[in-house]
Amino acid sequence: MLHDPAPRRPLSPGELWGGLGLAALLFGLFMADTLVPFEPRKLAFPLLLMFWAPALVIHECGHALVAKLVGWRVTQMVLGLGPELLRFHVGETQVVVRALLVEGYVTPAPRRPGSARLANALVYLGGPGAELLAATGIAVAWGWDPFFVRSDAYPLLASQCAALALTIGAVMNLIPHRMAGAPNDGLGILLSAGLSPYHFDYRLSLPTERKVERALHAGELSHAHAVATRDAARHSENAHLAMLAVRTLAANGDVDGAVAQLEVLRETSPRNPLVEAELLHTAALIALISRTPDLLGRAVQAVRSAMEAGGPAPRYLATLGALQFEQGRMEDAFQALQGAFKATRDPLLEDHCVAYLALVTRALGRTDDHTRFARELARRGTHPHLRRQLDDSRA
Amino acid sequence: MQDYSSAYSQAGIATDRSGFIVKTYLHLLGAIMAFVALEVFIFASGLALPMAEAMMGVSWLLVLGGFMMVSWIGSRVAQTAESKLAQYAALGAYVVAEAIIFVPLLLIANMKADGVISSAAAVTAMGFGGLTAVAFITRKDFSFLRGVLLWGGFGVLLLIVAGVIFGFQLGTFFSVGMVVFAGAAILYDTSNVIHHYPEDRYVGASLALFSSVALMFWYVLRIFMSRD
Repeated sequence: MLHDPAPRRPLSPGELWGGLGLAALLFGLFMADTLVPFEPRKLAFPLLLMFWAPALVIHECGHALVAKLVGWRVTQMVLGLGPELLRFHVGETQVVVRALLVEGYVTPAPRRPGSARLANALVYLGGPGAELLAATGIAVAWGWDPFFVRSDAYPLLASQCAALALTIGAVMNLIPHRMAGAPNDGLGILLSAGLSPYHFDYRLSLPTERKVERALHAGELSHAHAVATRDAARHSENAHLAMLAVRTLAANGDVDGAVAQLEVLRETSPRNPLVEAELLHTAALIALISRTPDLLGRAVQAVRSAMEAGGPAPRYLATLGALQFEQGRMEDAFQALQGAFKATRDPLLEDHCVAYLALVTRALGRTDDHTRFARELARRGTHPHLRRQLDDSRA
Repeated sequence: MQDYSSAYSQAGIATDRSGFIVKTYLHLLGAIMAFVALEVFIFASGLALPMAEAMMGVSWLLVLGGFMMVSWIGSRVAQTAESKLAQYAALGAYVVAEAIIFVPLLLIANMKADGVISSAAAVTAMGFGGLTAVAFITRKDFSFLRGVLLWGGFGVLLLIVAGVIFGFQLGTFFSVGMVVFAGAAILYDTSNVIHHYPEDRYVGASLALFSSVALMFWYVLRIFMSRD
């Protein structure tokens, strides 16, 4: 049951209600068990669930606070899973609150170029560290020894549950593993020691990349180019920002200019696997924008080489799927896009996958799945050009 | 990358997939028989009592944690390892871990009432058969249950941990809830066997089914024991 061989796809209304009904039944039975026969300490279960959300907020705020302390910026904090309930800004940080407050993430990025291994490890440690600090604070407030006593007194029970929720959250995050393809806090701390300086150049470019991707998904091409060129000029030594500017140039119609600039970048950029992979990926994205049949085949090879150089990142898989769709290789496109869709939690990459999967499932004649992805694409409201393409294919 | 080409079979269960399905259920049968044989050996050799005492002498959280670790590694190896030998080793280790963790429960059940184990086994077999029939007859894709099973499983762990730490017993409603949970897991696993597992993964698929059947058996047995 731990392994999931099924493709990821949006739920139909019937499946959504079926899942919610099962969840309600299970929750009702487990709650009934705490009430019959009633003992105050059985309230530990609902109390643990209740304190999970505050523990999550403390965890993510811990990451954000440490990021600020080491001089990094936090562009996004996402709290929870599922449908978005709330979106607001705290300073330069966009905070997104979703329906199920069970897990979350922050997107920190350095402000200055150069290696920042220790800062990176500290930012990872900030989340579980804040939880353990808060749990210890609760225990100390009770006077330590009296805190570790089984009791039916409600205030003590509630405090113990709060501390336990915080501790479980911290420990789960410190056990090294991957979640949706990304390292969790424990693994992130361990991996920090081996990160190359180029990794931090890439991290520095991420906030700009998100802005640019958002603008491209909304069809605001000239705005995307303006943002990319402005930030590339600000950090002229950063190859990733330069590649982003090249890509937006192609998106604005100057494919030849973009190819020429990419050639220059290829000559002048530092030689390392991450930059090599990004150069290949950018070349593939330009080919995707151009939709020239001759370039598409070479672009597929470029993405495959990027995956060999930089690893099978979900965004490479997503680009591969889009290229294969343009080539008319629908079954391959479906597999690549599904691979990316299952492996990512990035909403922007999900938008890309949903849009192409709506087109691919239509081409494959998978009516049921096409309906789900098309509905999801309409709900997200991104990729106007692909939605137009979908409408045209229907007509 | 996984092979999703079989994921959306529009023409029903293709004939080449039936071979995979037969292999999966034969492996499940083999795993169950190995489990029964191990339990018979443990009880007949007189190892059951010292094993149960040893397990009940340490914190149940440690036993549970160890079992979860073996389950997680076993499941991961069976699902991802290329080598068939590694897949079989994972299934074997998982069956042994299940056989060990069942010892205290079976010992108490055996002492408490005659026939309770066989009754629970019969009810589990009927439940499994019924749910398997539902999945095969409707051919509905139950993969949408994954989220509920994942987060429900996390909630269950939280409840068990709370019970051990705060010192309260989980009762019949909890066991009923767990039987429902195991039933949903059987539907989910069976649906994945029908629609989604790559055809060379019959060992991993049988391990997933075996773990759901064992979970259902555990809680059906607990319900039977709470009645007597």
